[in-house]
Amino acid sequence: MNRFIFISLFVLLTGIVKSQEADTIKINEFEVKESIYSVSSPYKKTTFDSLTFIQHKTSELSDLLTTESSVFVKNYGNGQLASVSFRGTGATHTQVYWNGINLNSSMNGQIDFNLFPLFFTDDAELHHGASSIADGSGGLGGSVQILNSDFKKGVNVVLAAGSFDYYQSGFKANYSLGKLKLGSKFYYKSVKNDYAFLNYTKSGFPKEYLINAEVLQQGFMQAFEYDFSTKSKLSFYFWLMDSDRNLPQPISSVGVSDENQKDNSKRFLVEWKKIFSKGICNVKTSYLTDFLEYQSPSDSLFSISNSNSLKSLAQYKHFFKSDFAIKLQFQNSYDEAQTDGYNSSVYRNQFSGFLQLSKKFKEWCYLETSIRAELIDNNFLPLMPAVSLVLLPDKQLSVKANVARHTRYPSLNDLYWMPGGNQNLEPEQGWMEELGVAYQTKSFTAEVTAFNSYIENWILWSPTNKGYWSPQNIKEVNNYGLETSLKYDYQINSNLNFRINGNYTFTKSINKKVTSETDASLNKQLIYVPLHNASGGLTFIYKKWMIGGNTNFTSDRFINTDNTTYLPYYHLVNAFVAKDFTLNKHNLTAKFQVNNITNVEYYVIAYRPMPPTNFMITIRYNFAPSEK
Amino acid sequence: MKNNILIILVLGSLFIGCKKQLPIPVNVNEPKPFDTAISINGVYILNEGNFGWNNASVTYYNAETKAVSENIFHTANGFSLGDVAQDIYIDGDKTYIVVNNSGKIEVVNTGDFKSITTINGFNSPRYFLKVNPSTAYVSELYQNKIYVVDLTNNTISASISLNGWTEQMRLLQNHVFVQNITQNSIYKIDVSTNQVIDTLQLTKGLNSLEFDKNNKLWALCGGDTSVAGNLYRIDPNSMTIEQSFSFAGNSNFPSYLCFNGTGEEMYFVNEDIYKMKTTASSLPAQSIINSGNSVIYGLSVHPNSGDIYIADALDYVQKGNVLRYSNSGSLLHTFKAGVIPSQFVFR
Repeated sequence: MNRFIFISLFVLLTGIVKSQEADTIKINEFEVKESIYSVSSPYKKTTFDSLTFIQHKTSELSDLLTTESSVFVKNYGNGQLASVSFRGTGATHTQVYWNGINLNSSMNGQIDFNLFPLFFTDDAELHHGASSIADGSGGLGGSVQILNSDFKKGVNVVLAAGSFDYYQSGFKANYSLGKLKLGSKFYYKSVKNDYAFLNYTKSGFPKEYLINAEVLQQGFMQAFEYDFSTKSKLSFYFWLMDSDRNLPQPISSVGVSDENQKDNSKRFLVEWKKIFSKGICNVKTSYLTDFLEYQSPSDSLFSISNSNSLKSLAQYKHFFKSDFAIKLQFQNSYDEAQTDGYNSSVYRNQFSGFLQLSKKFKEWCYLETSIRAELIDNNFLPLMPAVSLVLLPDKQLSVKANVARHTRYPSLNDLYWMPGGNQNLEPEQGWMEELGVAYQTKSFTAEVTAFNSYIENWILWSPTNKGYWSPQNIKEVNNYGLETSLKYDYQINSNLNFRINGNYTFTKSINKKVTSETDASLNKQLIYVPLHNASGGLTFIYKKWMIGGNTNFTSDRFINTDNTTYLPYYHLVNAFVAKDFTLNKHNLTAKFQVNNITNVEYYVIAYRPMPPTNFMITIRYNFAPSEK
Repeated sequence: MKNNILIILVLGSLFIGCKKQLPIPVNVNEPKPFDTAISINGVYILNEGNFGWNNASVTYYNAETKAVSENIFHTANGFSLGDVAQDIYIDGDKTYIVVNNSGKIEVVNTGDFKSITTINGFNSPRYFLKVNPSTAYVSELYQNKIYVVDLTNNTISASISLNGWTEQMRLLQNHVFVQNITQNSIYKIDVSTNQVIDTLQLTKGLNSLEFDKNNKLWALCGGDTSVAGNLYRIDPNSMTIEQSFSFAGNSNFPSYLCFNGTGEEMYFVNEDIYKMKTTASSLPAQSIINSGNSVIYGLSVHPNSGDIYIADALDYVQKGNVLRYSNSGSLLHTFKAGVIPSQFVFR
């Protein structure tokens, strides 16, 4: 379903809940629901509605996931490197897709979630576990989809200022010339991040201020869409992101702090979409270039890495009847990378085919089966089959069960880094199962999903007797647990609405293999995987006022594989108040926000202090002419 | 309506923060207090810790009672050593611990490990060597120099400029022999003038430097996939190679050269552990200890008992193992030290 990014608070007052009731195939418009199910997916997915999204519009993707989902965000500091872990898996097991195009670095296999300001994103979805096979290979934990689709006419300006010299501005304009639609976005953010912390690594725990933690981020996106007809359109996107970050040292360090990292990404995407009488066709191609420069002048260190990718996708989904659909997808990705760590430039071609069959047997029984095959250079990855069954005992209740095998190919660094790179590495692979129950009414949604996965050939860099580190397929990990989510919208009276939403995840992530019998990490929880992770929000809307808060609880995390040391739990609370001013087509929203209101001292990563209580003021102006 | 307000209050209470607590790591089992009874066979084990994790530590092992005291620096001082402890040097009743990433040297009382002072001002210090009663040298990773530390006031008094990453240092009379990692060479420094007076080029992977009983300098080079490892006997006066032993084949990576108490027998790691007399005419064919699946991260021989101490860092993210063998190669005791045990010093 389409979601409007220009939604103002005024609109929110009248329609928070987006309808999920689309039982039939509406093939005659772009907002077609590409499913024969009345449930959103036969796998566990997390979606964000416009109310949630707009509350996080000035933050990074990492912040949205921390407070509004069940994944664990490993954050090295405000604006510093952030990675995401689904269901106890590692950072490389989370794949990020932009309009279906994979953005993970071909070099280290990861992605930095603090390089994605939500200002550029119109919508996002999380595909947990096997759900990500439909997107591509590698998401042993899951995938994050960030989407651009919005061409609604108007102008949008966001200005924000906050603690630690935080300044942000964003400008967005969408316009149209006949059948041609255009959209432009400009973004700038800078923050000094010189917050105070107590340095527990030094005698007497002195109060210090974080140094060398400045972040500067700039970005630009230009989009075009040409509508040939109501059933056929061509879109083009150009997205430039530039980031210049100083990297604070661990607080136990006393040397000169002058590390710096510059990231620059250019992304081009051309997409053609056509709706036929009984099918949908989608063809896209994308060119991505990533540049990373790291330097530490005091240590005479300087390195540059460069990677370029050409990625294409073609997909067709055919609806034979209203109860049977088939989807065929081909993807090709050509990656090229250079860094001082490689002997020379390295190349890789990845070709993938995906076939999915969906069948509705009765009104209450659906089956979806799929298989993905992937060829990397001349090697076939193990096949990725998946089967999912959905039962609908009644209109509100759905029961989902699925089983799948997922695989991930090693990154270029794993294969080619000198020294250590291991070209004999096998792909990581795992079997995963899921059982979920969802209850959904117009105002209330509750979902519980139990998951289990066993990943083999998990790649781990470990020391060798040659004096350097090298990756090996040595780990086996069993992840299991529960993901629960709840959302309730309630209208108390015509002036007052409230919403409560929450997520809770229980994750066991158990190491099942060691190479030495004296290794105490056997059957222990992996490091930095919290057993309990919960987040939630509470929002009241009274006339044109909105007041609310959100919270995150992260339980103890072991930081040693033998589980002898842990970082203590933390519980964060953020709150905000916003007022909406609307005059005709002009809308102004002012928001005041307090983060970490109880001033909790916490580390996500040991000895990387996170911000104390901080404030932010945001002013958002929106002009939306009425659509013709 | 009343019910709704109640619901809201209950839900709202979820947002009230819990009690304050320190954000720092917690040990599941608190370490036992340091057994300060001095043993003639006492072993101090330096545990490097992980970069940035503030978890370097020193473990004390009483070889007579087999009692292990964990994390004795923290127990004695109430704060952590820092991280990536690179070197420990016992000088009578004073012990110097070089903490690399923390850029400091902690000076403690050897008896109870109480902190005496901290020497600051280093960039990336590696190893410590006392060169005369009032002076020590400290090698350095990045800054192309060796620090000269005045031990009377524990400050950096001068530095010796040279090229490259300097590592281990050995003293013979008035000369210091310095291992240069980047150049695979040995620098010879005159302590009275703080000048580099000679250099000897060796082969790839220079990792150890030791003197034997006859004051000959032995250097071990690990090699790499294209260059074989080599063991060299060097005349320190003329700085010439007197004898060399080559580890044929590129699967060898010999390292961790050390001597027994008399300076007549060498021990080293080449996957397994080997013993070799200084008078031997060829490399030993048979190992004395099989390392199994372990990747050895430290090796020392007790000067009095001749017991062999081996550090196994396991996966480097948990408490490592120390394996104590008799000189004939039978396992006497296995115990846990801290995270990444790397060095043994005996008192």
